[in-house]
Amino acid sequence: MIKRDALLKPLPLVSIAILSIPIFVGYLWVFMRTFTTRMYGMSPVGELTLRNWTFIVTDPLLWHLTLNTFVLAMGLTVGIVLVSCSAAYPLSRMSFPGRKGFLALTLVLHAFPSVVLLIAIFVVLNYLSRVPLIGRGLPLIGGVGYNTLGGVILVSIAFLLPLGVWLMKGFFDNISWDLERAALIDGCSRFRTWRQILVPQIRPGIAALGIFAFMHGWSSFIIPYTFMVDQQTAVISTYLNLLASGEQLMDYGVVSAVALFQLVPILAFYVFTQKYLLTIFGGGMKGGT
Amino acid sequence: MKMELVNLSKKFGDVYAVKNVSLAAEDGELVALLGPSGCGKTTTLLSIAGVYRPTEGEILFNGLCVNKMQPKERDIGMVFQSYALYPHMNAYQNIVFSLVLRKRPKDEMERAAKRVSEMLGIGHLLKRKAAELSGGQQQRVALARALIKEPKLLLFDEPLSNLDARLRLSMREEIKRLQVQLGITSIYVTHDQVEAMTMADRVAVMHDGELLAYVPPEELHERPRTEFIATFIGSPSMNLADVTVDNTGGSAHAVLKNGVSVKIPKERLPRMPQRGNAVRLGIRPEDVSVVAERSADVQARVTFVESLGRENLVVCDVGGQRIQCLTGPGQKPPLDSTVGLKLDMSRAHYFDPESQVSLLWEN
Repeated sequence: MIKRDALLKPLPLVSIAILSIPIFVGYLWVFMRTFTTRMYGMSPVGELTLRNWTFIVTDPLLWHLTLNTFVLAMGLTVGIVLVSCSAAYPLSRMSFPGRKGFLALTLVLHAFPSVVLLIAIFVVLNYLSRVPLIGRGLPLIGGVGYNTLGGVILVSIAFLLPLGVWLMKGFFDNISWDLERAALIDGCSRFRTWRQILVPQIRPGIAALGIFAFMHGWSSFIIPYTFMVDQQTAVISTYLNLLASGEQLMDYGVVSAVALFQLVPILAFYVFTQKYLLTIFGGGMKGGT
Repeated sequence: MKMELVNLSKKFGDVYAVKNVSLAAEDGELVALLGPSGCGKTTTLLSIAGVYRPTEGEILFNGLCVNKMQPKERDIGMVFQSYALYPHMNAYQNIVFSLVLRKRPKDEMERAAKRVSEMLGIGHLLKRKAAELSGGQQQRVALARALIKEPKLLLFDEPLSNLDARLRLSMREEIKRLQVQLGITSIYVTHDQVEAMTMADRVAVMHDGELLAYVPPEELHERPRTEFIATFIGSPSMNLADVTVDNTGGSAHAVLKNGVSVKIPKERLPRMPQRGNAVRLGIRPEDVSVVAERSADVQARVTFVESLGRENLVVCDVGGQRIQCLTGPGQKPPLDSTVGLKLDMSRAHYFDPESQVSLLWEN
């Protein structure tokens, strides 16, 4: 028996390792390709070179796009956290007509494929961009209309909201009522209770949702690709697509290097924050209507 | 401050959580709301606190209706079962939070915090976070937080339930001492009858949202008005047996189902129910003693013996009727043996089997 247990114990790890091999080989290939001029299967041909990485110093556009990507990811993070936290509180704590229906509807929306809505959203954004100032006159994000970073952030927030609201509602549900009552008796208003007593309790949830949203925003493709057509407003993922589908012959070395360039920050970010990310599963599961 | 509830009702949906409760707590009194879980005692307390708005009826503070007042306007302090300390603040910040919200000057806050924390012996713990305090210390901080406002009314929601038995005893004493010393009117919710009996000046027994009795603790034990109160108060709970009262031929007897009859003393003779002469006899385990068979009232078979330390709980079977009695530490009859039981009928209670109202005490 003991012998069998000893054999079985590493089994999950071994199976995960085996299943991960194709993915790992893919990344390894990309990594090696950035330092070579040509690959034959998994082995580099010719001398190792840094030529593929020269864009870091020679291509100012890429840095501009990195900034765009960062603004998109940060905008999504801040927006989703703010809206989810404030929407989840009443959904968790107050009873009002339509509460259950709203919760069910958001869940359905979450299951709805976002691609289907792209055309409709284009119409809305196009309309929005005709609104003066907020349409396309804002600094940094450009506005909230079509072909602006702000518009893409707005749409991304909307698509991620069901997840965020449900997740935050789960965290609010876990806070004891007594805490809120104590604050009420001490003299807090409902809003102050939310801001000063309850929100500090769900910081792990906010961290988790924030990290998730940031990573989601950093690597999102379909929404930026559809709603931002200028090179000036593009993000790294759409730039990658441009490089890979351009008219000239595709340079796999440069494509790999840019891909890796996009990957590195998110990888580092993940390593440092995975502890918080895991609380999504710790706190988000207990929620109910 | 005098606190009064007048026909207080609270409905959740179609269900009454509290139904037509009226009671008054005099200035400086500690009133316990006692009842099993789900009986509406916490709902009543939260209505007094202003967290719930009553469906019907009025809550009066010194004769003034406070139904529409916000909790913070009511001048109350509340202590919760879960302590409900703010986890992200340290003990000091927890205690002074209500003063911070009222924008009191800093030195006043510090003085007030010093006063209450010394009163509760937690002066050395003020810098600690809630999670770094033991249960008893957390409860003291919670008490300090309630007292710093110098409230006119203190509300306790099962404050000792989460503490271990020994700590519960000392905190019970301390809360009572503070309450008497400060003379603050208090409402104390508990499901623990010992807590209610020892601490309260008057006990309000609640069941299914209704107020069954509102009397001083001794009276609750000695003169239970209903069968529910009789069995709920006292541990182990009162024995109940269906008997018929035979009042023919000079002296009254209670006749058990199996034909055994026990004499009822004249001064303890119950009123007769409206129909028939069947009543329910109630007798507390401490009023039943195991005696030699010849001087016994009834013969019984021992079915179970439980040692409670100071005394033994002997469960007997009297012709299908289960009777519990308490015996001294040396007296431990063997299982399945036949023993004699003597019932102290001068301490027996009688209830109407239909309305379950006492046939001895006026309602």
